Amino acid sequence: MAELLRVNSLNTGYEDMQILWDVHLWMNQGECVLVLGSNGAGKTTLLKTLVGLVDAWSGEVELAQQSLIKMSVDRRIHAGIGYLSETGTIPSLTVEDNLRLGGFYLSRTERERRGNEMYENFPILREKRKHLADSLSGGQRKMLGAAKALMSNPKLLIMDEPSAGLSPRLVTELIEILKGFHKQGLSLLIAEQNVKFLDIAERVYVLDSGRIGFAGTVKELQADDAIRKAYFGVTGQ
Amino acid sequence: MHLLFIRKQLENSGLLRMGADRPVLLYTLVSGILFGIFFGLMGLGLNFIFGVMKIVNLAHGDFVMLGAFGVYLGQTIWGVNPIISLLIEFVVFILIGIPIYYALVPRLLKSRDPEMLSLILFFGFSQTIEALATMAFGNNPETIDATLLGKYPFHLFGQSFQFAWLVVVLVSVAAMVFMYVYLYHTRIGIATRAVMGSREEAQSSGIHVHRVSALAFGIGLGLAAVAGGMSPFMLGGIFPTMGVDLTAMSFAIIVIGSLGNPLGTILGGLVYGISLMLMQTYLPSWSSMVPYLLLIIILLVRPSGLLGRRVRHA
Repeated sequence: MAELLRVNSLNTGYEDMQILWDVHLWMNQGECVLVLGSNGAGKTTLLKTLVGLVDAWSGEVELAQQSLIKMSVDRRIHAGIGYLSETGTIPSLTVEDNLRLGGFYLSRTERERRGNEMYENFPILREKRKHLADSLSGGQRKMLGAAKALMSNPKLLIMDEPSAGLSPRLVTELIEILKGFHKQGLSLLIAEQNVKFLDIAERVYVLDSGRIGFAGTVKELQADDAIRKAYFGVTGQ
Repeated sequence: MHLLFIRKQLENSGLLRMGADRPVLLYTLVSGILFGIFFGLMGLGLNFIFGVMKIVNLAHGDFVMLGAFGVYLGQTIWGVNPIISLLIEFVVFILIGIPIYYALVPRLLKSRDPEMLSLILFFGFSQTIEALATMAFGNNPETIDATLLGKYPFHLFGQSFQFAWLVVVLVSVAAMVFMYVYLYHTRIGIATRAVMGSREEAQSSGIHVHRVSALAFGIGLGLAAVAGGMSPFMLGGIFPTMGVDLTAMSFAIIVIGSLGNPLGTILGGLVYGISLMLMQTYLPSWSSMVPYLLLIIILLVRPSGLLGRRVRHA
């Protein structure tokens, strides 16, 4: 399998506070990789740096052998990254407009085709297409965020805590939907605290205070008692 | 000075000699609505810029003043019809606004407190424009013949009004319709509303937020210029130092409607226009307090403005 994403010696932070320390990470095309870590471990900062919302201090980020480090956010999105942030939607826009925004640079026909595909995968969004995102429930908003990020047909979908604020039933539902896209070849990089997402992942990185504390397959992680105690104790699952 | 001019217009119409009977009230309310629509246009550009960038353009009134002088010079030097001047100004100010945005705003937005810094920076910009305009045009007020927009009065509800007011209202409504179509029926409009909703979220959806914001800044200045071009017909004499008053007036209008919500500006303009006309008619010596009184009342009673939701950040 061809390599899709490579992060080498990434250091970054906010103003004079360093958050990420020498982070190395890679993933292949079609793979699902989970970044686990407790609150404040640096997961969101890592994802925002990959997307370009936070500037890297040093290091390299490559998507399909193309360096992203000097690219603006919009160019990275055009290069094939889809991003679901913790909020995920624009609350003041309707569901339909949020999806149009997600497929902003697609042709009209392609945008409509992709929009219909999203409505098939997330039927509740079709019902609520004229409603403001602000009026949706937390779960529906998360579904909309995922659909918006998928609209541009990205090579890699980066998701920041998609389970945050969702009931266990909705988390399972979301994982099933993501599994469907993953089976079709979509690569996923998911930052989570919820270990339910291990069901969908092939490999895992554990981020601890801005440093990679573990890197390996899901099986290796599950077999490592020390890691499980250190990192999963805090999730309560 | 502008309030005196408005009062003179009311006196000329015979309104203030009629006493407080029904025709007076009706005339006052209709004038208030006509002026209110124009005031809505006056605040529209300021509010649009605030909505997209969350910065306060304290030089807004000075761009209005430049728009007014543009129409004045076009008419007096080249004999250009004010409506043609307006169209030219709208495009020219958009083109001027885009480089100004790139020179000032991205740096501002990177600072720790962009809102506060924008106040200081645009105040300096306002003073510079005012000083340069004073050097160029002198201190004496200039006027434009209102009959250029039509010689005969128009009648509404049995009352006569200057034809120029009708033209100004039509121009204002056209500008508002333009804004509505731009925001709600174009692709760039969706991107603009996305930036207004969440700059970071719009950015991470692939929107080039600086491109969208630069165009919005240009349009904001273009709308200010259009309001300025119409101001000699509504507010009377134009002079280089009028910008500060106009910024205060525009700021009151957008706070009343709702900061950050361009369409709320229309409501803010109407409330401001009607209140001003009522005060001019019944308590004229207090009328100069209208913008500040309305500001205080709105901030105390409904701080998010009449149409306000969670859009205020400054």
